[in-house]
Amino acid sequence: MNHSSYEEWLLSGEELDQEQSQALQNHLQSCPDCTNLQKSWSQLEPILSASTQVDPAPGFTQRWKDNLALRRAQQQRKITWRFLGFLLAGALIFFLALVIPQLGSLPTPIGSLDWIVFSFISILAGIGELQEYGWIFLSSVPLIVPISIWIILAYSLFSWSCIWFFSIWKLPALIRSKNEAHP
Amino acid sequence: MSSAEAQWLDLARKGDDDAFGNLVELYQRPVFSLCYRMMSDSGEAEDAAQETFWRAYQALKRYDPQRPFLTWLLSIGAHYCIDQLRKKRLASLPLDVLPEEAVPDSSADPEDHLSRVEEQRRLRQLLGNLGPQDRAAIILRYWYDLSEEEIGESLSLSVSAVKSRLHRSRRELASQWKEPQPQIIRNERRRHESLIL
Ligand SMILES: [Zn+2]
Repeated sequence: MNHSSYEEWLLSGEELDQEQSQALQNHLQSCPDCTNLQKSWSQLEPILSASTQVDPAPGFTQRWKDNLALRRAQQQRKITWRFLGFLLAGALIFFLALVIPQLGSLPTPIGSLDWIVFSFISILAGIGELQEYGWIFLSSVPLIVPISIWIILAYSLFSWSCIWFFSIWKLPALIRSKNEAHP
Repeated sequence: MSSAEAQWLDLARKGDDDAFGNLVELYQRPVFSLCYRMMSDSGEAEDAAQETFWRAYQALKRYDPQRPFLTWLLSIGAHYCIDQLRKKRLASLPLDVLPEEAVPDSSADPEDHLSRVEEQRRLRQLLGNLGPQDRAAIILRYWYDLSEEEIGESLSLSVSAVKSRLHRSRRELASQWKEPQPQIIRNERRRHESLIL
């Protein structure tokens, strides 16, 4: 048997049978290292075992409750921002999808400028045209369409805006509570 | 586990924050003690203990009720402290900055009490010399009486890895341990008396 096996016997605290403890005693008589180790460990082990637990500063649970409220608010904010970021990214992708195919046909910066000015003018022209058509539409349609249809249209427009607002403000909270229920 | 404790746990798992608050109240001492032994600083131990409860709170749905709740909490706390210590590479702290620890004064002999204070200070210093995971293994073994299997479960180690870590740590602690010198105890007494006066 080698020295390190005796060390293991000394430190493990496991019960040794008679033969093993006799072998250990014989080894201890010839090995000063193991004798020192045994002496130190026999002093240290009771100190380790007798060590007491330490109390936190008073009010630990109250601090926990305050922290909990703070962390939940932080988490809520994070989810809201993530949701808004998601919407923004969606809008950006949609915008780029519309714009990028146009960019391919623009070889130079001057061309791009041309294109921007042209687009701006055509948008303005489009708005002017739309206004014109709008006027024609608004002046003729009320005479044809019955008043009940107008009420229904206005009402559905209002409901859609309500749903939109609700999804902006409440969806993050709903997602969070759902996540908590099914992690 | 007492029936009140089981009920709090059940309510907490259903999302009752007050019930979880009761569990925090009940387990603050063992969790804080573990963090204190690991971090060697009461401020950092407070933060680590609060973080341990927050992580437990978030992971409560994944807790296996077959396992003792305290062992589960200690496992979360030990992992967190090991990570923190690794991040900070805080392998050892000079003795002077370690805070004073209250050792219950059960004996009538002040000399005896002071020698125990001194012993605890030196023990903490030795623990600070161990690596974070070895330190956690020793603390869980001796302060919390966890078996080698439970320590393995808590620290995500195999039983044989726990055995070898414990052996290495005991050996290191024992080889660094020397009996307190009477001179140190006398100095400690002088310091103690000057604090009282
Ligand atoms: Zn030997």
